[in-house]
Amino acid sequence: MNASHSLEISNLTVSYDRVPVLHHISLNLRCGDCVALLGPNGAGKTTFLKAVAGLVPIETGTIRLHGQSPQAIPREISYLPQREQVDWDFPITVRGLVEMGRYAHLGNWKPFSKRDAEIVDQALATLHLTDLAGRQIKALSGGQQQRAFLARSWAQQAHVYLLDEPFEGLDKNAQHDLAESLRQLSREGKLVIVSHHNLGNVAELFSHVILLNGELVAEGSVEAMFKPEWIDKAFATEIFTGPHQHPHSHALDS
Amino acid sequence: MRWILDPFHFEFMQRALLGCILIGFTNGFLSAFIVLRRMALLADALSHSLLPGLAIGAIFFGLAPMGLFFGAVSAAAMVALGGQLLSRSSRLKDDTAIAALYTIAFALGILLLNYSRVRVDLHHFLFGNILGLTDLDLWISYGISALTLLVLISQQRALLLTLFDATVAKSQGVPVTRLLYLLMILMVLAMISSLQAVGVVLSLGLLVLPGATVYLWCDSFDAMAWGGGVIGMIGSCAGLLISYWTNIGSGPAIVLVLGLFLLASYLFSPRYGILIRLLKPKHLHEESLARWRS
Repeated sequence: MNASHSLEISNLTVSYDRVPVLHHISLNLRCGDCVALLGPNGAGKTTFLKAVAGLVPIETGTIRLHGQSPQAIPREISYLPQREQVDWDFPITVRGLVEMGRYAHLGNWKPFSKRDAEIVDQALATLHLTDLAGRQIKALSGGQQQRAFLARSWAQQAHVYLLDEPFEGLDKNAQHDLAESLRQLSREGKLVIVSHHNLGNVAELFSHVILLNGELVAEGSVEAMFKPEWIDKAFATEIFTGPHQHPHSHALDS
Repeated sequence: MRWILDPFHFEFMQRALLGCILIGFTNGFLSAFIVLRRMALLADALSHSLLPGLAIGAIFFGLAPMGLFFGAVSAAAMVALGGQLLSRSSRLKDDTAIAALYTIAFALGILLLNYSRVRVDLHHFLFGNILGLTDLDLWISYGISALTLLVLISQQRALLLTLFDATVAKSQGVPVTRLLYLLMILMVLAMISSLQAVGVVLSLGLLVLPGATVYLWCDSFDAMAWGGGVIGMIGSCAGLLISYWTNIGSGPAIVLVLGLFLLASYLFSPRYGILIRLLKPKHLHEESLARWRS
């Protein structure tokens, strides 16, 4: 495994109001994996994704992508918001949304070139949205909306895709299409991390799992780690119920 | 038919029309950003908070436009920043904090106007008088329009990312907080430029109605901003002319014309109007049947 082609997380702790929700997580993920992030409610799945995306401050630990800090290469990492966080009435079409992905490369000044338009076309084609490019984003089905945001990340040429419960509320066909899109991204060498709570379809959708419950319970390929003993452990409620006792305050002293 | 061309012969009307073009376009352009960022109520609060600033300006500098200008800017800044301070340092939410501060400021403004050296008509500040535009007023409008359009156009991509999804924009390195403050400053400046024309209370109309009108028509951000500018400009000029022909106040006339535009959009917009929704067949049976057969 090439160390520069991976996401390395070591000793990651994240707190809200000084109460830790993620405890000293260390793991390595390879680009090209399609990873399910599993755990009960309150296990810190969303927090984990947001920490990797740089949306919440981390208390201890480091995150390295290709050996670099994510802040140094923000456009390589793309976080897809949960559906209810999006203003679906925003005056924007699918194409307009995907074009926004190019802004990370263009800044305020560089003109939108032919090459940018080609990348947008490719993104739309990759996610099977070419026919829907002129639609306003509310006039899409749930699965199409997810794919539209994936296309934006693709146009941004992101390398890591972080998705928060994308399968929530999708019917069987839409789930299938979205899963196919995610597999395609991982075949292209992207790293896809998805928070997920339906244990029933993990094996068919993902290649790897991370089992999370405040702390890291297990991590590895679906064949090796998606086993009852680990799942029971991840979903056991007694692991971190009370207030967390050991101090993280040393991070605040510095 | 001479009465139609009549207003164009007078210098004060030419001046007022020029003012309407500048003010209407700038406020209308900014309107898209305010509607999408849901800043309309904040704009309302800040427009009322201009009053004590105007009063203090009038006390110290009489009716000199520059004195009024700086008085108004500082008063709005104090309410906006004070609201932030109050909400961050206590459990009060920012809508409560700003509402509290702006009513206090407004009351203070009414009180202070009594102490002005020059006799100031409260009515004038509240509802404006576009026929009284001076050269300096026009220059201030020019300056504000140029600055506002320059900033909004040059920062358009960053602003669009911020309006659509501030958290993701932030993670992409967009200076979200700074841009939102910038937007607030531009909003106050735009309100000041329309103060002379429509007054403290009605300035909000110029900032909200054009954007809301176009929002019901289009699915493109560019169209919304430029369309808002055009609607604002047409509405202001039309309102001014109507006020001249019918001898009613220019402020209410402008806002009412813009209000009619919004009502028309709400009813008749081919995309998001309510009539089209009522007239559309409940389901696309014929269409889907045809597709199913093919």
